[in-house]
Amino acid sequence: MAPTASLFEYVASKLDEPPLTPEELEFMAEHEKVTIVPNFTLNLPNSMLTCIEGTYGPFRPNIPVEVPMYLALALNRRNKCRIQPPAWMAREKLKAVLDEERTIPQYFQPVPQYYVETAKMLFAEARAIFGTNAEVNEIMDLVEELKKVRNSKILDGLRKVSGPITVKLNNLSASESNKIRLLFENSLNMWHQLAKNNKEWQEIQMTGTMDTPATL
Amino acid sequence: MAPPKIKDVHLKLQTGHGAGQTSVAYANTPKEISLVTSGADGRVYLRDALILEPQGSCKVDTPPATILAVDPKGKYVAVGDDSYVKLYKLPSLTPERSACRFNLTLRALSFSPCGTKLAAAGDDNLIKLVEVKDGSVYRTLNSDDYVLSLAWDPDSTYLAATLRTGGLVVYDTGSGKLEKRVDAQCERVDYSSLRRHAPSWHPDGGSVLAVPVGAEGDVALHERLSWEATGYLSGEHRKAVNIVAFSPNGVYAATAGQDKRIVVWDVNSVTAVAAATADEVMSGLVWRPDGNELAMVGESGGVGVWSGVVPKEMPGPAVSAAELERLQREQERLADLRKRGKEAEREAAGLGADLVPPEGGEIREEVIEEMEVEAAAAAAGAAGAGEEGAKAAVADGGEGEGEDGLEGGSGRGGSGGLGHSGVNGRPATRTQTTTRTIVRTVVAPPAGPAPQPAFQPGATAAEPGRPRFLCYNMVGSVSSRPVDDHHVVEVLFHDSSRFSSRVPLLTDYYGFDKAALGDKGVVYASPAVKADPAEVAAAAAEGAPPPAGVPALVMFRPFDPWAPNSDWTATLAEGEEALCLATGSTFVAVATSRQLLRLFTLGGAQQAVLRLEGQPVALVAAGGQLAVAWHSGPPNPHTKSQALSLSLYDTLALVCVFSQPLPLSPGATLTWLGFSEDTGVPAAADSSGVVCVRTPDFGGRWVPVFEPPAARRASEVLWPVGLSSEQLYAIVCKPAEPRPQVSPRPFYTPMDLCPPVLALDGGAGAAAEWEAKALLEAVKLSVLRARLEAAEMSGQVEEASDLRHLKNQGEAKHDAALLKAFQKFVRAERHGRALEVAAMLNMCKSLSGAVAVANHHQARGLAERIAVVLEQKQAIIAANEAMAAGVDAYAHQHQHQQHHQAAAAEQHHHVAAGEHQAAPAGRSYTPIPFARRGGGVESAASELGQGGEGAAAAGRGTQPLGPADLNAGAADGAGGADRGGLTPFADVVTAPGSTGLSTGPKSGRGLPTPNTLLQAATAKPDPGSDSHKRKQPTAFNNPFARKAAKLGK
Repeated sequence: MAPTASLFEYVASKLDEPPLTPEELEFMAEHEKVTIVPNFTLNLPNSMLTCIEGTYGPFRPNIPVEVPMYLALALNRRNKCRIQPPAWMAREKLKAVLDEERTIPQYFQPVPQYYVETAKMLFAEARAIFGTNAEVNEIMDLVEELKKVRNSKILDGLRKVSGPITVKLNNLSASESNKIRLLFENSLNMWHQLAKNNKEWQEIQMTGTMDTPATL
Repeated sequence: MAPPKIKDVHLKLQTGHGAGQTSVAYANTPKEISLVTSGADGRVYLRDALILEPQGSCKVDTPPATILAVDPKGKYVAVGDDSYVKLYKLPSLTPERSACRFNLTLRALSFSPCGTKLAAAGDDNLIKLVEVKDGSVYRTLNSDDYVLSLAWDPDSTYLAATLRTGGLVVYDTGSGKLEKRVDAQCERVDYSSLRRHAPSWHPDGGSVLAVPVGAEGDVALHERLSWEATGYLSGEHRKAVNIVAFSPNGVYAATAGQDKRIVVWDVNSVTAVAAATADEVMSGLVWRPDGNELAMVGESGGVGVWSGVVPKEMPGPAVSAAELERLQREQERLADLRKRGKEAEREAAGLGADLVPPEGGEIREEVIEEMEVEAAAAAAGAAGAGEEGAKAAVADGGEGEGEDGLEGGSGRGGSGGLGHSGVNGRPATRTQTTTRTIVRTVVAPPAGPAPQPAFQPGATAAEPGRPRFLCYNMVGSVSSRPVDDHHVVEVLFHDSSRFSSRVPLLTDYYGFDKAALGDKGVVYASPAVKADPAEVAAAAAEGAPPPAGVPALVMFRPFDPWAPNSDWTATLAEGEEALCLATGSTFVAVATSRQLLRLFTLGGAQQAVLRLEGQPVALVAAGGQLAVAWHSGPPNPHTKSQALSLSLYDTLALVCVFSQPLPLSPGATLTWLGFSEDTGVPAAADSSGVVCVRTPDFGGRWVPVFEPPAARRASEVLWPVGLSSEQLYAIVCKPAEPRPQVSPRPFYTPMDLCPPVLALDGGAGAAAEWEAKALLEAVKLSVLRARLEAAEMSGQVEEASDLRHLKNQGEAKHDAALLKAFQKFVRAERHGRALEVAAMLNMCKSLSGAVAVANHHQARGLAERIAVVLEQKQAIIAANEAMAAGVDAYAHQHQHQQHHQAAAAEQHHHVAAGEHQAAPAGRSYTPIPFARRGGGVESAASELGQGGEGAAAAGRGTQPLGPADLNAGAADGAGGADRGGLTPFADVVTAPGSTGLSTGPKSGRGLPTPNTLLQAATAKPDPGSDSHKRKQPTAFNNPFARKAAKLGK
């Protein structure tokens, strides 16, 4: 097999069609927990709210409670709660992560699994929780920057994968791994295939029988 | 700040020059003292020092004549104009010679005190030092910026200059070296400013340099050589100070500021002694060298003299140092004489000459000098002094006594560290003797803390320019945000489902600094604003009535008024300030500085005006209840604790439910006051973070239910907002910022309450947690029982049944906690303690559970004893139920029949109350049918047993703790209020042996106390005496036994 296009070139063409759609990812991200401060009392036993996938609460005015994102956003739309910005979205925290991300090329910084989706949803629906417009824009910029830096890191890493090198892809978030999923799936399959053939070929070499032609 | 507010004198200046920088100086000519003034019109006048009539004049070549200086000998006046410094001869004002030349306008001139040198500076960035003799510039100092003023120190060594940028520089004129430079000392001004920022040296050799500082009108006193600011003259001017001038003897300093005020300060005490206002900002200000007068020129060209500046009773501003010393000695001598007179009096009274140290204080004695004196002189002095002393003693007799009294209490009053000091000279008795001067200082005990000021629970301190909470409680928050010249007050609710209406923003021009948020409305109060003293002075000068200040206001805004115009505003009387506010569901309460408690209805009708027993500290309201914390005395100087009391008012029933001391942690102040959200008991938090609630048990005592966890005490500060019977709701703040900020909106964090119980040894430490829980439940339960009792007594059937339900729930929780502790004790082989815990259990079910747990752990002895307790309990409950049946019947029967019914029930069940006689007690109710149910009536019955005393107490209506003490739902308070003398204390019921059931003290609730039950359970077994003990042990046939065992695990 002649050396074909590098992995990077291969993935570049595939980046636009990930196996999971962003909408699906967002749906999953809606199950991430956020802290809200409700401003209502729930007239239910123990003021707990039972949903299909879990029971949340107790909802008591001005006392923070952890709920999934979809619930938080639904309540927020009705002005029934204040969403607390997640800790990782604090300005200082983001700046620190971004700095680390830039200075250490070998590793990815640990970020929440659905950070892209969470940030997108919060910016779209609950901008006010981050403070004034200027503050929101700053945090948006930081998240955007973080995304870019990580993305370029992924591409950089893949560019280098042209031989038998292990690539460390710890701490990739959902949307990022989604981007390279297709590539990895296919290439791993391919490698598997090759390895299998290799084994067969070796066996053939060792036994010395050439009856069966190598199948690919 | 200054003790008496000084009345401003109004000064009227006469026109002397054109508008612009002007200058003035006294010229000490051989003939007389005259004034020399110069102004923007370029003219220099020699004026009479009193009537200011010009006696001579000249005109400079290049006006304006901005500055002049007179040489110390009074021979020349140096005048600075647009480019020259010229010397003019005095008094003829004939031009002598030109001293130096500048490119830009001159601003500052100063003769050295020796008179040989002249410093000049202006917009040229240069300070030129000129030899006066020949007019040669012998040194040029570069100041890097426009110079506003120069001042030569009295030793002619240093030269101080103030710069346009606000800096202060000090040069050593001998070497030309820069000695000190302080940047941004004064306000920075622009190039065309008329400011002078004139500094001044203290005349005693320049030990102190006074320089205007900042834009707020302060003056810094810099120490010579170190050039550090060692003191400030502050608190009088509202705008920057333009000129400082020390009086000729240095006792006083005069300052003139941009606020058109002139203030004269006593430099030693740093207090203002006189003040005046003029119509213009002063551009020049000088003291008359030999009199009590200030000459001034203004920026509009006015010229004036202020005579009699320093009040007569004080030493004059020009009095020589020797004279001052003499005055000082005179005063000391008088004080000494007075003291000696007093001592003599004491000796005569046989009290001894020694001073009596105040409690906790001491007397320090110090010999400061010993010297040989001529006896004759000393004797003469003593004789003279003796006469005067006698007089002084007579005159001061009464006063002296008063002082003595005060001395003892001075420490407690917190007036100061030093009680009294005096010089005590012993008169000579023999020729050629030794005189000792002994200084005795009475050192007062460490002063107690000051009484804490009134506060609003849930308010944060005002910080300039930042929003703050006026009130933050479990209902919502009231925040005030400064905007331009007013504030915007916003009300937000935590629970928007309960309060649907949005409260519109309030634009506040009154400066509301207190607010209280209730569930029906919000009440605001603003402080009284005094009229501007300058305006008052101006009005007085014009003969107009003085402008009135704005009195204190109280404003109430209901949330959902059904009627229009439901807002109301009340103006407090002059001199009355609203110190604390509160609003409940039915009323608004305001505690004022006149020690009044004003109660309004929500609509604004004045329900009551009550005198408070002490200065109010805080108010808090819930429903119809109002708690008032007030100072019951000065703070304890030893424990440093505030002496506070708490009164609880029921505004519906118009009763004071209780009034009791409010104990705090040692050394702490009250920081929060509130009511428990569910049980409604008063709660208080102090500055050490401990939260207490008041339990109705023990006659109403405070239980510490929360202490900040030690592990997290360093990293967070809890700011309490509310409390339930199980949790504290607090905002978690950082120690650096111990108050919550308005933005982002804070939320409260629930924290489990935990009384400070101890973990006992022997592996039973784990039980402490459950014991703490049980204690909390016990508090809640006692509140519920008390309320239930009150409801039953006032015949509120529905509420009683609700409460009974709650009580049963509470008992179950209490038992659950106790059983956990019980199990831990059993496991740790502490059977004695376990039995005692079991005896505290409320329900039979729990007891049989305890039996099962004991059996499970192979503790047979324990199980048997608990079974005994259980049996007794069951028997008692059976008796009570029968009694209850009787009472139910009573509820349907006529009053007369009721006696028989009850009596029948009594006889039938052979219970203790049968021993009682329904003796007439001066009150009409009959205690018997209630005796098994209501502790209150039972106690009344016991009072009957004790004879007429209790009955008399009831008859008098003295109610140390009426039913409303139970913090019951307020509505029934009225009904309960007239039943006096009902104490919820446990009391002795019957003589031992009168029944087969209970022998011993019973709790106030009609149930046997754990101790009673224990007596029987721990007694030596005597199976023959009681027939019912023959029954099979309950544990084995009780259906709950097994279940409870599981619970125990």
